[in-house]
Amino acid sequence: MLILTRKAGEKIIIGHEIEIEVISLSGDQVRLGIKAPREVSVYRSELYEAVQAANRAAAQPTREALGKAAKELRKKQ
Amino acid sequence: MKLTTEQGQEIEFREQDIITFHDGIFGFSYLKRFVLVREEEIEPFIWLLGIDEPYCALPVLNPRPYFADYPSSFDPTTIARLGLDSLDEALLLVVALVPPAGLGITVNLLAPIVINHHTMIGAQIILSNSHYQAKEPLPLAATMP
Repeated sequence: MLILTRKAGEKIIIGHEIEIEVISLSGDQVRLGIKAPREVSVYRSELYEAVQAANRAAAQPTREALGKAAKELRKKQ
Repeated sequence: MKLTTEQGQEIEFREQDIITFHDGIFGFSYLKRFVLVREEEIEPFIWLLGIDEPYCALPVLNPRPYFADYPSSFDPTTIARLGLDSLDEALLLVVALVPPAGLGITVNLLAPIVINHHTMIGAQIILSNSHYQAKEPLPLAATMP
């Protein structure tokens, strides 16, 4: 991993189009400003990982389980 | 075109049924092409089937009957990126986590699947600045008819 030291107001540039600026520091928190092309998605890693895990857990349920769940939902409508 | 699922089920689909997810979906970013498969016995669920190997099947459903006003806000640039003017034009789906017993279903309201059914382009979007959870219990009764 590349490790860089930056001060508030300083930036790093990734490739030609992505810019990350250290906006401010306070206690153990850092505020970052990110400039990236529209097609580049930026996520907080904990959200990204939560969604990855949720999709993986949801994939390939058994037909029996899904059929049963579906029946239950239809019954209550 | 034909696909045989892991459970040995044969699925037939047409070229024009293929939905392209340029970024894949989270956890399966290698999958770019999907089809929606509707089956009577799993309604209101629909299969979102990744047709590239290794294949992946996700149960999804329309969240609106269960969660009125969902989603409360949506980033306009995301909508524009999908070539849409508003979210109302899109097909909106959420991934359901169905436990083996079939009860205690949760849905991922944090990251809905949005499909432009005119261009057949789709994306899974994380609603970063929202209160939505990846495992939101699905109310058994629909709130709207």
